[in-house]
Amino acid sequence: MIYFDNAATTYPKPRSVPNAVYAAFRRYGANPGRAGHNLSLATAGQVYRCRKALAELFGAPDEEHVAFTLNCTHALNMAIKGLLSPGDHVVTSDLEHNAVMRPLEELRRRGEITYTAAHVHMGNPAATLAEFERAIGPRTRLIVCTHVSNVFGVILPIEQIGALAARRGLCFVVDCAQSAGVLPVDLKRCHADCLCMPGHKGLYGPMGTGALICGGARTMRTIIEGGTGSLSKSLEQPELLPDRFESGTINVPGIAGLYAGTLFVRSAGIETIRRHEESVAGEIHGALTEIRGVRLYTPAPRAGVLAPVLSFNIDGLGSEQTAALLNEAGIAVRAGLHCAPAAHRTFGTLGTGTVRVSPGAFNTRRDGMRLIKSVFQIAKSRK
Amino acid sequence: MEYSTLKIKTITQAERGRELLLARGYRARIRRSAVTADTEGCGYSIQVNCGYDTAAGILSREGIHVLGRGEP
Repeated sequence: MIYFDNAATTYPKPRSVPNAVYAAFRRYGANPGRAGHNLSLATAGQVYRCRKALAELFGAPDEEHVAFTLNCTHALNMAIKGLLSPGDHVVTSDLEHNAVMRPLEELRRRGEITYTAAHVHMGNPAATLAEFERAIGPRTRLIVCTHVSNVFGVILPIEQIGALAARRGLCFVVDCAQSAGVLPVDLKRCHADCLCMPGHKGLYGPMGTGALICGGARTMRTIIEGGTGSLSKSLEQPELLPDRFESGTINVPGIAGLYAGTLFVRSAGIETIRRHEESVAGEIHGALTEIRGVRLYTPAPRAGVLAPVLSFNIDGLGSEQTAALLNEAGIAVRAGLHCAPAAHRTFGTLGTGTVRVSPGAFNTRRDGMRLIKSVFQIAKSRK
Repeated sequence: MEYSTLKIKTITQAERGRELLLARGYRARIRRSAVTADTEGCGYSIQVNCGYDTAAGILSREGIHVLGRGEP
């Protein structure tokens, strides 16, 4: 099978990742931060190494500002619900995933907040920034937006948006679901209060891992409270990070795998991985534009403008039908709405969805050629 | 050789503190703090081969809050 669904989760993982998960069961099998015996301390040491690697990669103030979560959605819920209070207004973009939109919509339905979705102008950061600025009102407390559209690959100018948030005294949360490990992201450079990311996508860790990286300037409320192994006489949730956001036992085998994945990304180089994915996606994009009946929605991936994620449709075929035919040809892609109806509404594809092609570090040009050939055959058969 | 034990609030701060002390050439290890009537509950300590004030100074400068002297 040829796998082009890396925007959902990367596959395969580097060999070091399953090896690290397996090794964790043998070497790090105790509960970290709960006991004083050697196995617990060794496990805590391994968890700390992963925190350190993530802190370095994303410019966190220190390791304490890296909290492990189940996934990016979990981190986003913690950040959004932890920062907002009744009466607040939020600015977001019109390309968001439901991981941002559903928490916002839930709070809106409860009558607690209002929000405005600013339009993103592809390839025009100044115009996008102006839309965000226009959407800010007197009650605005938070800007939360994706770094990269998970459907169309559109890159948002998060450093400029973060600078705007800082200028206006607003909180800023970034959904790094598609960018962590693929594009450079630095907490300080984008003036963010929180970076939310999955461990299982561009960081090549196992599913069930994610991280909330905090700037730490603001105290966030919690959405989950419980045992942390620290300050246990108090019935109040500790304020200290990461304990504040890590109640209950953490996913040690997953974190060990995430550490291996992060080392893989660091060793290969984010820029090298991005250029490779861009090259594979660019070649596919170029060939698909030549096939009659294929509709693409964006120009070819380009550094700083479009990440290597493509969406397309074939005239006369539903996106799910196209994906099913590609599956029969041994190619895995994702079709439909990709949990991002807002982005599809913006691009006019809400009624049809799209077929999404998302390369990863292990895809080759040959994989791309196989995809192009299969799309050509499917499109030809529809004429 | 002088040894001291410093009580720290969380395992992550203890890990960071241990790393800072190791980087300065000290020998340091983490151990579980004893729970007593005057502590805030469970926590960790760093045992290090230097004086308490020296170690506490290093950790405090890096933002690690030292709760006090731990059990030797």
